[in-house]
Amino acid sequence: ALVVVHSPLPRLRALLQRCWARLERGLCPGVLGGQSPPWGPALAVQGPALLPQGINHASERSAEVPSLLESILWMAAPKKRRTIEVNRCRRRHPSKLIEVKRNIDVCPECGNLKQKHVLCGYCYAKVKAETRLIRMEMHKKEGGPFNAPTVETVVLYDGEKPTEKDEGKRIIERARKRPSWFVQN
Amino acid sequence: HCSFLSGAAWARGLLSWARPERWLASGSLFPLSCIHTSTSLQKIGKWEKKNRIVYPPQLPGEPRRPAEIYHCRREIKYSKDKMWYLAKLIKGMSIDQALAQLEFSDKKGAKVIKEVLLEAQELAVRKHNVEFKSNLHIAESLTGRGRYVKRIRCHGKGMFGVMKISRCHYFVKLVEGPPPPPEPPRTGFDQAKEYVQQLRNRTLVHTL
Repeated sequence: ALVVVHSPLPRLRALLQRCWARLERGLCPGVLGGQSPPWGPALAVQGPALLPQGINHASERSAEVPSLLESILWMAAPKKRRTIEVNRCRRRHPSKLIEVKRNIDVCPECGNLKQKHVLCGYCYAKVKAETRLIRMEMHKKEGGPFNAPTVETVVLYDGEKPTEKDEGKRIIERARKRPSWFVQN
Repeated sequence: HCSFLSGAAWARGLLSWARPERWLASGSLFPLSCIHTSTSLQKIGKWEKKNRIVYPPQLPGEPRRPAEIYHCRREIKYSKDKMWYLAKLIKGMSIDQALAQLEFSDKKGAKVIKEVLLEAQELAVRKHNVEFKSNLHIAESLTGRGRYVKRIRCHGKGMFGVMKISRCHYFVKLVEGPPPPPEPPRTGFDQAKEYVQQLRNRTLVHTL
C-alpha cells in the first residue's frame, strides 16, 4: 500500500524525498545508468487461468434468479419470541384502542339516539314498516308481476278523497289514520 | 336390590335410611326439595357471589355508601382480546354514555355488552335499591377467558391445522353516582416531583 505523508515541515519533506529516492534506486538500479537491468523470469509459477468459457459462465450466473431453495435462507423470520410486555405495548397502543364517538345526538322525533349524519333507526324502521304495507296493497292491486301501471300512484288514508290533481293516477287505499310524517301534497 | 327402583325413588329410600327422625309412619314420599337440583351442582362464579355480600347497617353520621351491582355473562362466543377493547372503551363512563357508544359500534361484542348493561341496570333498579337508573356509572368492566374448544381446520394438500374456538366472559360492576372525573395526565413536573420525593425517602438501613 502506498502511504503519502504531507508534512508541513519542509525539512521532514526533504528527508522523505531522499529516502524515497534511495528506495527507487534500490528497486531499479539500472535505470539511472541508462541501461535496462537484466530482465528475466525469476520464478515461474502456474496460476489459475480462466478458461475461455469461464467469463461467459460468470456473466450468466449474475443474471440467473436464485431458486426458492436458496432464497429460503434469506426469508424474514422472527429471531426471538415477542414477550408479553412488548405484545401489550403494541395491542394497547392508543391507535389500536376504539375511539369515543362524539357524533351521537338525540332524535327530536322519537327521542332515541342517532348519529348526526345518519337517519334515526327507529323512525326509519317505522317508515319501512308502513312502506311494506303500502307495497303489499300495490301487489294485491296489480295481481301479478310486470303489471305496474304507467301512471303515478297516490296513497290515501282514512277519510281522504282524491282531489282533481289526482285524476289519472292509481290510488292505493290504506285503512288507517295518516301518519304524521307522511305529508299530503 | 335397588335395580328395580328408579333413581329418584332410590335416593328417597336412601334419605329415609339416613334420617330416621323424619321417617313418616304413613309411608308418604319425601318432598323432592331434599334432593339437589342441577343449579346447585354447577359452580356459582365468584363475580355472582359478590352481589350477595351484606354490609352492617350504617351509622347515622357516616356518608352514604353507594350501591354496587355486579353482573356478568358467561361463555360469549367472541374473542377475549377483541372484547377487551370494548371493555376498555366503556370503563369509567356513565351508563347512558356507554350505551350510546355501544349502540353505534360495529363490533359483535358491542351488542352483547349492551344487553348485559341493560340487564344490570334492571337488576339495580329492582333488587339493589337504586333510585335513578341513569345515576349509575361503570366502575369496572373486565373480560375473561371462557372454555376453548379445539377443532381441525383443513388446509390444501391434505394439511390441517388445529383451530381453537374461543369464548369469553364479560364482567361489569356498576356503582351508583355520577362518574368520577378523569384524572389529569401525568406531566413531567409530576414525575419530577415524585422522583425528588423518592430521593428524599431514602434512609440508611441497619444503622443507629
